[in-house]
Amino acid sequence: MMTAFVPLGDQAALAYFADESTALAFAATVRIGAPSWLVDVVQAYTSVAVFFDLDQTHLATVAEQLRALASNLAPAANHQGPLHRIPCCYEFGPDLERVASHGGLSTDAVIHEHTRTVFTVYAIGFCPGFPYLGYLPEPLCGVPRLASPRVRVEAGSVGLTGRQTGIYTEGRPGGWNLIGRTPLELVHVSDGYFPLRTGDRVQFQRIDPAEFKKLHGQRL
Amino acid sequence: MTLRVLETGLHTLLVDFGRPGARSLGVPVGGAADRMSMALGNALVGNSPDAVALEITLAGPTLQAAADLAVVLYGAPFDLWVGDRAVQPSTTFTLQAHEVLRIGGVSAERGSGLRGYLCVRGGFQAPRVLGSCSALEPVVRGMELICSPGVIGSRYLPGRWLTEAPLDDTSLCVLVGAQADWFELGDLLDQTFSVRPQSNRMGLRLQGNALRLPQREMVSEPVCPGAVQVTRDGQCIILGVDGQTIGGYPKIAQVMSADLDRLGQLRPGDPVRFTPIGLEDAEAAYREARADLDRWLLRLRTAEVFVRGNSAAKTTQSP
Repeated sequence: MMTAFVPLGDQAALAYFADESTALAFAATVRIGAPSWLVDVVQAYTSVAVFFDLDQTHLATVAEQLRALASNLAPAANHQGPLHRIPCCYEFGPDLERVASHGGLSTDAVIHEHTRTVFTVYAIGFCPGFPYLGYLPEPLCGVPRLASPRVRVEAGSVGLTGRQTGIYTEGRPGGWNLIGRTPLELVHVSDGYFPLRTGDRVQFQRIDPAEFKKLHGQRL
Repeated sequence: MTLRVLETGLHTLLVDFGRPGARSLGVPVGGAADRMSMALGNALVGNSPDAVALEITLAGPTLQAAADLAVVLYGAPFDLWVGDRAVQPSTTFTLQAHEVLRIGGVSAERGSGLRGYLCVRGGFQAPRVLGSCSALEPVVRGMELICSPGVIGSRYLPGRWLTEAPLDDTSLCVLVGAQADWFELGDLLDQTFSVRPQSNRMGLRLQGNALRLPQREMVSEPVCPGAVQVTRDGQCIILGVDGQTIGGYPKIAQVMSADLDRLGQLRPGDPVRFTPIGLEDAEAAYREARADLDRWLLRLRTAEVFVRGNSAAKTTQSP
């Protein structure tokens, strides 16, 4: 159910939900309905922003329609996205040892926990296409960010912090703990290539450095 | 036909109205930081409002045309030269084949603005990505910008920079932010901030007395240009057109849509104050600004309205 509804300025409404899957169902329902005034739907965890065209309508009208949609959502399971299997080479994870010692685990146990979990894309942001994946199994939770972010994290790097894991889609500074790297290209902005969407599911598959080399640069 | 970049200037970028539908992919809206100026510049050379133009910031590029080009520089008043001859901004002219157009700095007078739009009849040609031709990177030296040849007489539209009282420029109307109840609103409204030099298209960093904020964490949620975010040290960042799509800083306020273009013209050192406004008034302000722009676009389409130096033109109310 919707727990709160606030304006996000004068061209968007921000709806909060009790849990991520309800937010996902709401976002999907608005997209499918595709009202003529719709500009974009952005979900992040339990919140969903609906951007509208102020030349066509205004917040009061949009709010009324969105409240009606929210009170009549199909079960969240109907909106589950596709499952992507993403190869990850854990030999290329400079912080793997530290993550292991934080949880009192072996590095193999970290890899086992990370690859056995099916994650959901709860948000996309930070940089184009960067998927925020949740949630980590308990033994991997709670590793703080690096005290000082790296000046550059290479594209494909797989990191984690708090309850989340994610994949750097472009090389840029970053403060998450890097436990591996995927050889695949997950975003190509100028081609409009964005295979991952909120609501999709992701499972990592362990590969060795030879396999990494073979797959490097291929698309998901 | 091309326009060759001899020198890039500070940050020179091909823009249109951006990618408002790509936020869900984590891609910022982007596009012109001052859409109204771009629309008027385009109209002066006979283009649609969103034809691709060259956004110029603080210090401009040097460009050379391969053939005659119908151009105007609209927005903040930059110094302009064709060869050794000074040219007026906000006035259309034909840049002749092989002539070098040098765009210098913007007037140092406070309130003059930061960005101008070089519009060429027919617009620039650029690859379309996610529904927009706005470039992902600024131009580089030696680049050939693709456009169509053209000639144009002299038409002049006074820039709004020339007439608007600079003091009025400092106040931005804000709606309540999603986390406004975390703050004492007076901390925001009762002081004058200053734009810090670290500002860019991603955000305007403001310098002021630190706002008091609770030691509270929030989960990242969608944000948009105009959001007034408060960082942990109590300072404000107003998100710009290239701002990120989700964010974890609390938002005390949100600049109304009708004032967003002005964010694109604030430059380091400019004073900023915030004035609260209700939703209905913000919507009305947007519609009024929109209607005003539409009237000017219509006038520019239907008549050769202004000739520079005509005193009647100078007394006409500017957009």
